[in-house]
Amino acid sequence: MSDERKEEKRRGAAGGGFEQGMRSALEKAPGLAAPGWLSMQSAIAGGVAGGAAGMSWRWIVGPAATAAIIGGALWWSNSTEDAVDPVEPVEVVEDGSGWFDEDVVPDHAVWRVEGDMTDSAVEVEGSGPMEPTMEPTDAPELERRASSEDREDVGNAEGEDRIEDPAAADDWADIPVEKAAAFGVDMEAACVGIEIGFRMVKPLDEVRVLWNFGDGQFSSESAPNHVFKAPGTYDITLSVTRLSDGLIRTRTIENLVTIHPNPEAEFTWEVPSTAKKMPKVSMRNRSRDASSATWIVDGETSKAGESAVFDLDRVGEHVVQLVASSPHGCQSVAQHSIEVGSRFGIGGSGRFSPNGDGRYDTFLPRGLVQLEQPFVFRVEDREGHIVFETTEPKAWDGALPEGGWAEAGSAFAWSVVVQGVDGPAYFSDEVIVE
Amino acid sequence: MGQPIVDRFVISPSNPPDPEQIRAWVQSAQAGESEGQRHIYETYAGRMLLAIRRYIPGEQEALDVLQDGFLKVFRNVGGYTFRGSFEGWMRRIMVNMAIDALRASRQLQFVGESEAMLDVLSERVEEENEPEWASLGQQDILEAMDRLTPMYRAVFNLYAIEGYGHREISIQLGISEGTSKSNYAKARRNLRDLLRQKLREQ
Repeated sequence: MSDERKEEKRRGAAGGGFEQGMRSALEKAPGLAAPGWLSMQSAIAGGVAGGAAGMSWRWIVGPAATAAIIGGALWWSNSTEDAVDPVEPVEVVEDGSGWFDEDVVPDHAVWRVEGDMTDSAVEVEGSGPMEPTMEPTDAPELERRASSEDREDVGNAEGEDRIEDPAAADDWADIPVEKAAAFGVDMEAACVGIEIGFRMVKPLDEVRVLWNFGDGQFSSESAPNHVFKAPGTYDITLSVTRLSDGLIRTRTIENLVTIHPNPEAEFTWEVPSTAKKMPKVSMRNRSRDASSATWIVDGETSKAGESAVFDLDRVGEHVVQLVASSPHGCQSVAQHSIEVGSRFGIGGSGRFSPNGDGRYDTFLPRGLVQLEQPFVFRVEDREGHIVFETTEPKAWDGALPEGGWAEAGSAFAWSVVVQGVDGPAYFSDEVIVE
Repeated sequence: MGQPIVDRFVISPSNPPDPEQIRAWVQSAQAGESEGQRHIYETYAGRMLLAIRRYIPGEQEALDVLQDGFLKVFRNVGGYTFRGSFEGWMRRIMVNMAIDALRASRQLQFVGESEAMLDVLSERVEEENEPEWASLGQQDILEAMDRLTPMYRAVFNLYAIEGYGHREISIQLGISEGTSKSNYAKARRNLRDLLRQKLREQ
């Protein structure tokens, strides 16, 4: 027990009979049925290597999936216009249209340049599922993508007969710039705010490099990462300067990177206007530039759709998130806390006695007395007819609209809707007349 | 031949083991021996799972935390110095991992509330006619806790059961001390109400 808590204990402020009873009940509780030792043993043996990493992965594929993805890397897709279910783990590589980093795609086709680097003769060594088999005669195919000709150099970097330092060779000045300063990008399309990696196909020693990202930003790192802050299509330029003699080779690939805008996620919600034991809260998507929406409540319920209705039957602050996705798969998240409470949440008593004796003669949840936000407080009879309604902190004295008074022993349901800055909070319970 | 799959579930023994016995198991586990690990696991898994379930709403998610928690226990068992109970040492690890899991799944986000509300809500409830709280069953307690949001149950469990102070809770959960206190007051009243109902039905 902490010192702070011991101090509280001395003052007698903490832990009444209720807490003591709970602790005692839990102390003698037998515990729940847990999986047997064998499953634990296999976990120890490496089934869950990494522990926390293993766990977070399970959270991602579990029902809490979308929640776990939010805040981490937002996925993107550059190969398909179809909306991809955000719950599925997303492979960044879908058809080889972006990556050519052989570390990332080990199965990637390896291209080898034989002999003179200016020679366009290439041979396929192994074939990946992502690359069509290319013959030298397939020139139009090679030109199809801006960076495709860079790819044929990848194998050279990997190949056994790698040239140690091509920049030092005399002919570096003569070979086409497409090869002398060949480079590529790990994604050709991404969302605003996503980091994109740039690298030379053959990292060279004894050179200085300068990357121009086309958005006014530059880098002199050999393999920089860059975040584009605005949507658009960008020309990328790499300048390579040979240190020995200052020779500069510059290569530009036009329209290499396309950045898609993120949607603006937002939603509103409505609570019931009458007393409910299990209030349904309906949400409405108000996002801009979004083609699909996914709802998450308390990190566990997930629904798709423009609007959604949830039973918020647990007492407390419910965290509701809306993940909005654009047609390109860019995402953003809106989040609000929605409070649903019983009489304890708003300081409502369980009973009152409108008999004029000056004690508990009227009923008003005490939380409303100094509330700054607008609210509606309603009391209903058994049939659901509203017998009292106010937007002022005015107590119900037990008077009924038809005349007469609430009878002793009868129960009345009530509700309070508080209009918060973001949206409404809801409280509902029952009061008994004594 | 692989081992036959016997007892797919373990249930903790009803009587706590002898302290000397526990010491021997812990020392065995500290030496990296599977034998000690197995005894510790089979003795405490059920009670640790109960502790985790007080925080985590889902069964499957709680089992994940249990497994990762025991991995952490066995990795760090060398750091246990036999001061304080071993079960308490383990439970602290489990509770921390449960809170981490809630945070990772974004179930602990919270927006603060006004201090004015706090005054209204922190006055003491009359403690007359206290029911026999200690006779509550674990299932009743879990069912009642399942009726609270993750933040409410985390605050309640950390304060009432684990014995943390509100300052520690505010740091651990990333909320203000005032929020911790008002959440505690509300969670406590709701739980009392629900559990009183359960005891009446018995």
